[in-house]
Amino acid sequence: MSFNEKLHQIQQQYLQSLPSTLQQINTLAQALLTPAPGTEQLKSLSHLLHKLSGAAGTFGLPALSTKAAELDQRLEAILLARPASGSSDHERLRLKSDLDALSEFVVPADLPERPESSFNPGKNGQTLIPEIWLLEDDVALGSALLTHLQAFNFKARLFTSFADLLRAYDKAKPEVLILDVLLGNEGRSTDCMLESKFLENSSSRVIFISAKDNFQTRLQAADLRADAFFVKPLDIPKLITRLEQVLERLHAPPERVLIIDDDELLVRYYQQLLTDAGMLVHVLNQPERIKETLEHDCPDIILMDLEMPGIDGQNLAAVIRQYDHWLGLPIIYLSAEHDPQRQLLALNQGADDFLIKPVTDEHLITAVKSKVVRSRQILDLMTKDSLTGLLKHAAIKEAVRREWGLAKRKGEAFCVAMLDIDHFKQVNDRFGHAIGDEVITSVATLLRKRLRGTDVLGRYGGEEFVVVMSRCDADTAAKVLDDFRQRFQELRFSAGAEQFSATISIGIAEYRPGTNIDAEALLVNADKAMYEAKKTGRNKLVLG
Amino acid sequence: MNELVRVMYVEDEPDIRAVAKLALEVVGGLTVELCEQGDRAVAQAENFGPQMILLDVMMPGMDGPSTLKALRERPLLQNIPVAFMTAKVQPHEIEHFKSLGAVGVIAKPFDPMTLSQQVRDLWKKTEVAS
Repeated sequence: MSFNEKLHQIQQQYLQSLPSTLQQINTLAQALLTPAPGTEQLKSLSHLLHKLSGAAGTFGLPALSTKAAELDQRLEAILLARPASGSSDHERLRLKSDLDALSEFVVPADLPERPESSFNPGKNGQTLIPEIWLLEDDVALGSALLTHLQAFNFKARLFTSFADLLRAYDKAKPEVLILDVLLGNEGRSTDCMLESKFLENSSSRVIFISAKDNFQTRLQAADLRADAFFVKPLDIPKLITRLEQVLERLHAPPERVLIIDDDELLVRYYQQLLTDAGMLVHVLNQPERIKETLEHDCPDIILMDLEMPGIDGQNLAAVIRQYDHWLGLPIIYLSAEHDPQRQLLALNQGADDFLIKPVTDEHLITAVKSKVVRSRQILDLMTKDSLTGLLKHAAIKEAVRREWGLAKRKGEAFCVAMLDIDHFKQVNDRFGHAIGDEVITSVATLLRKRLRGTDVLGRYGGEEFVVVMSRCDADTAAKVLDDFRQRFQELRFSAGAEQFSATISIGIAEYRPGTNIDAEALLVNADKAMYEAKKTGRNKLVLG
Repeated sequence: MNELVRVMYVEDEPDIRAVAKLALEVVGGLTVELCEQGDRAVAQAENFGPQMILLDVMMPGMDGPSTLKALRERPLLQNIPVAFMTAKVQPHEIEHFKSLGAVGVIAKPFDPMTLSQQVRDLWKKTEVAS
């Protein structure tokens, strides 16, 4: 064996052990989510990072070496700053998220002659990349779908044969598979067997496209854990809306839990338990700071001890309920109280549930998760439009006011844009309201995809939308929204056998620091600019 | 001037050991003895008789600096040049390692193609000094 071959062999060994090292780092990094992470855990983490920085470069991964060294230094700074921390909360969480992204730096530098030998993240079946894979042997339909997916900013790959997809699946796993497969008796049975077997073991979400629409086929798709089922001819916008929903469920943010209890040991235990279950946990030691804590931590739920020295849990709950804003915040009492009468009394004082200590781990996790899901659903129902998931009229107006207050204080520019679908009445009249709704949903989905996560989106009225773009001047807003406008007109909608496209008119109003214009006036100006766009030909953008 | 032939490398990571051995033997033409932990280094060094010793700094159990100390306590090993292999190569860190009695520091991650040259350069410096 030559030197190069031997070197390559050792490199391969190292690359194979890398996923488990990165996994260990991720596991240890969980500690950074707690306000007072254990020193031992952080030291082990630092040790691993140090090793990684010292070794990765030797095996052709210099970017990983450099990043690991940088993260190790930041971690050491956090270790040094303790226990006088508190100010480092922000950096702690930032470091955590950077550590989570460490695998992105697994970029081979000097292995150009062996592209196949690069790091193989799919090996242990753990790492999912946010990608959509499409299996479609009808090339015309495949590329149409691919174009749409990419217009919506999805990272998508098209495969025309199952064998190709299988080969690629060895190296990486997409989050969602969209499969046009031959189900039931449609195709050769060996293919079907292979596909079912593959899907049983795959960790990706699945959406099926089928030429047939019968109960048998649908049942089979359900049996293969499909998240959605679409029949040809394919309604692409509908499929993309569904895809968004699937991804949203995958990416629900962690539950934010606030624990109020004086038993330190128990608190630490709950904190670890819930953190391990993927939640973000905060602890309140000083009940008198409840208002600041709620404002700062924005918990989804409160776990509160009923009997604490100096303060009664019931009274603290009652204080929380004095604020309108937190009327709907779920509160669960934890208590050793066994008297049912007193339990009921406590529930009457504004709490949602009552768990008797000792609580089993599973019970606690399930109680918290289910309560948070429900309360988020209710909150969404109150503030979000059911068709598009965007903020309702009142909520988006509130968002403009909030952004205005913030921009004024900070002396930053921001923009408000008004968007209106052109000739929307004609779409409704010609194709029916169901198709009209689809066009509206597509505006929402495309906005979400093309704009920044910090931009706030709302459905202002029937076919009218408002976008609030923070820290953004008019030119930048115009560039982003005009790109959106052009992409929107390229979308194809189908109504029966007929295909059509739609256009949009946009007006932008800018808030410049130092000016006297208020939130209300910004909305009026954006509206005026939008009407100017309508008057002067539609499908265009006007700066107010 | 003596030719450098025999080198011992103490390192806990198996992949790094393997690549260093390959680099020093094949590229550098050296005879290499590997050792996986600090507390075995003394016995192995007395046995092997290296002209130079390379020490990883961060190892579980006995780390690099403690291993250096243990080596220095043995009459046979007292004068053998030792270099640290580490990712900590800030000037003050290098100074610290030298103050412990190391002849120098080789930065990690190392390049397998040039490692033996770096080791030889350090070796020449000690030869000139003595």
